[in-house]
Amino acid sequence: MELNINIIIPEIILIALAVCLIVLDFFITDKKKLNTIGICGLVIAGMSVLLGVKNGFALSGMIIQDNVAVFFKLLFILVGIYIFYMGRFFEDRIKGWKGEFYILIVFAIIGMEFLSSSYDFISFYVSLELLTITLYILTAYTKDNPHSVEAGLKYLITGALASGFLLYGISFIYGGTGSTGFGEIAGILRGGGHGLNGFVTIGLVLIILGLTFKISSIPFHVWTPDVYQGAPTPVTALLAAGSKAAGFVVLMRVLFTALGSVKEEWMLFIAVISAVTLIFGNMSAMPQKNIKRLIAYAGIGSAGYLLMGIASASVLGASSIMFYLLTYLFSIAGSFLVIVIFSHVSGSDEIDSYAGLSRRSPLLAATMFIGLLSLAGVPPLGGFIAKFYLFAAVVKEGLIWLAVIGILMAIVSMYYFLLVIKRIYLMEPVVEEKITLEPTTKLMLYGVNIAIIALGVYPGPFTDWFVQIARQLF
Amino acid sequence: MIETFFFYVFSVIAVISALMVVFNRDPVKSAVSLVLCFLQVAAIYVLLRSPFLAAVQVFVYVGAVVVLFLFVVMVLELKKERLGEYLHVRQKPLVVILVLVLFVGLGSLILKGRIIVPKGLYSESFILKEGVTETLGKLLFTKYIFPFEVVSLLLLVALIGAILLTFKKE
Repeated sequence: MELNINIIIPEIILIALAVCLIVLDFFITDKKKLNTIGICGLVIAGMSVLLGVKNGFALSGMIIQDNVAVFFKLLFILVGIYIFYMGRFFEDRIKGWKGEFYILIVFAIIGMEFLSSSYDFISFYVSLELLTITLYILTAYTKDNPHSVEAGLKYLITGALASGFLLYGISFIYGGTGSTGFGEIAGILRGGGHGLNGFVTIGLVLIILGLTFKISSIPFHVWTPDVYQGAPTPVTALLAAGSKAAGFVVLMRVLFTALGSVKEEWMLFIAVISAVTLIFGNMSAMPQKNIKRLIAYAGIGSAGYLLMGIASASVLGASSIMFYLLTYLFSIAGSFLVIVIFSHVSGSDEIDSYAGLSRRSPLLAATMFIGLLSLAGVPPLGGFIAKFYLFAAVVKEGLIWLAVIGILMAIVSMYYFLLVIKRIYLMEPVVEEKITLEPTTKLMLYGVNIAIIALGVYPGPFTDWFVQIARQLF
Repeated sequence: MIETFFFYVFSVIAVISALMVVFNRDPVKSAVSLVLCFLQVAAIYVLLRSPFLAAVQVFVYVGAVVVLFLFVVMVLELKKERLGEYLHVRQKPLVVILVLVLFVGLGSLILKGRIIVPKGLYSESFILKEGVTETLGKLLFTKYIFPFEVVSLLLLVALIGAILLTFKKE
């Protein structure tokens, strides 16, 4: 097969950006300039994804470019731009800030982009490791803070274990089918008769278990709260919005594309994982006192919702996963921008310190309000539509019990998010001082809020597009 | 026949030494068991007609990685591992049960597993004709060029990370 190198032009631009940043880091002392260059580079890479990249296979079938990959690449670049912007606020709080932070973020984005277009277990695994190892370093980045180092270590150990599961599973799939390419495996399994044997089943189970680490669902969820709390806040946002989406795109490719013909084997397994994750995540979120920890547990719950889409194994399920991830990105970007700005002002991530935020800065309060309610799934926000489609997808496949658990847990999540909102709007502020925002920040916050509301009020074009591109996965 | 016999000998020793790595409380003994385990894996590579991989395994893992481990042990003066004292005792039966379930589940599925797909292109005669190293080199730079290049990015990231996390400004 031919090389088709032009398919990975956006990634090549990003690699060039990373190398440029490494070199410029020596000469530029004001790291905010580095940040601006990074954002410009990301925008250019995003444009190159939109324009001029043809669909097809590249690098001897290791890489695929289809509309699913295009959507996820744009999503990751958007995540990258928000993380870079958050970095600007975070920078001032850290003594001896180093420019490597931005370089590593670019590498993480490269890893996610490659993951979204991997079409072979080998390219998938190396891209996953590129992403994960970058995230280990980023998590432990503020090494003067013992929480951050602890988080990095915990993330590393759980990640290494999950990687072991994943590799063992991949080797069983290779043993059973004699191939590592997703397309070839699908062809062999569809070939009938000998399709499924013990080896493929073992591989399937171990790969699913290994990938639950990336999407932070049961049984590899334990790292989530500590890492979300301990990691630098922009990195937490990257973990929540980017790394989780990357986990789901590979889960969709592995399960729908490569192992789609044996879906009876894994549908129920995924449904059970989804139900347990939903109940665990939402129940444990209730007593949390730290906002990042709360979002971590809510994020475990979200992984449960997204797994509902996987469990339905249908075009509707896949498209609703994409819709959910899009709304999730905006909710996370909005609320984490507020968290970064607020902790920059007050130095605290505790929920109690958010008391009376609405009087100190109405825009920050409103962003938190909209972001959290969208995570909880309140109409008419984007999160409601996303959950609605997920429920529809599982009901259509006859998994009504899963939809019932999902709806009950949505009510639970409403409770703990409203507790935060109550503090923001109804309690008296401890400090009366107003929080002033830069014009660009205001623009970013307005953009996020408008996007969440627009996705909720007028989801039609997006869902149509997602249904169209989700067909390519099957 | 004789190959099968040796395969089982090497595998059994590899598994036993891997268990010794985990169960030994003394880091030096663990590292030495790890050497034993890596050597058995290298021997299995030889049985699989891949002397190049076996040599790399011995050079990189036995030669470099484990020696690094031993250096760390020496420099840090590691005592006997004491993590066990911090573990929750009540969780132990649960762990044993979970491991047993995994073991039985995997074992029963492995017994059901069969390899039906035809064997690949790289048969013994092909390798004898082309040579292991040549085949491997050609594959790395043609079919597997993408993972090869991504791994180089990975090494760059690891380098940056290692310097970043350990460097102290005076």
